[in-house]
Amino acid sequence: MKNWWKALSVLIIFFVIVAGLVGPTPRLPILNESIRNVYFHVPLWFSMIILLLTSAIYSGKYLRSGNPDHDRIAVEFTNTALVFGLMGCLTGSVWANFTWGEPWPNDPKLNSVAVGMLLYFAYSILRGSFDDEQRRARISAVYNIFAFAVFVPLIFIVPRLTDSLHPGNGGNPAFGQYNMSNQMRPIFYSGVIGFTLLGVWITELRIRMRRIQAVLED
Amino acid sequence: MNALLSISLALNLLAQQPDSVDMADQLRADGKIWVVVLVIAVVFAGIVAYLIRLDRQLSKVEKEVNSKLVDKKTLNPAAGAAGR
Repeated sequence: MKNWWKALSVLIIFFVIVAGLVGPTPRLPILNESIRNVYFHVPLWFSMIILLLTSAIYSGKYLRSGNPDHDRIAVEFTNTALVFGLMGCLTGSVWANFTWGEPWPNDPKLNSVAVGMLLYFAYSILRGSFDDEQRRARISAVYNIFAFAVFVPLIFIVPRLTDSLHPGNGGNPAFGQYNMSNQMRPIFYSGVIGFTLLGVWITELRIRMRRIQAVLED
Repeated sequence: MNALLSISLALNLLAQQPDSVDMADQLRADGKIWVVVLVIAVVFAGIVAYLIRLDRQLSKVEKEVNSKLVDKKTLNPAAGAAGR
């Protein structure tokens, strides 16, 4: 069955929903039960980064091959990644409202993430500004690779150099005793796999649609 | 004075017994947590059903397009190769 991984993503996410809400977690002040957001908010971001990496790789492939299908794949991975990133921001904002006191505190990690997302929105706008397919594909492929190269240090390195509320930055250890435990890890990592596979499924649907459009346009 | 307050706050947090942190224990004891699980699972099931529907619709169109391409190629080999 060639769609086994789609079924797997659905099963994994159902598992995360059940185990994530019912399973044991550390009992921590301020977080209380909202620590369970780790199972949903964080995997969205991990997935986004994997999807963006895949997109950048296909941009590189396009530059080497000139095959328009590679360009198609690169765009759709970025599109899905943007949706996941938006959901990541929204879920993080809801969580922050109740644990940090406001939906968007002036925080280095959050601001870096916002800048990173804008970089990728600019990619979409860049593509829209070209009529010629080949030029569009080539220039946006170069932009995509640079965008990813900037995005990774922006969201991982910059926040660690400064004060940040966000776990994993500014002196707050990530995946330490304050937001993760050995009981939580299997569910969390399953969530990363599940949401990534879901992202790939959505991207595959969009790519297939674009391929059909391309054939019909001829 | 500030140092003393900070240290006593930290000690207090570290020394907190698990029972004193408010968690949704009553929700779990009542079994109502399963209602929450069910609701979220139903929402997700709906989204998955929509994705499967999209997947099937795409497969159908793909088949049509491919068969049309094959027809073009068999009827007119020269033009079929260029896809026109």
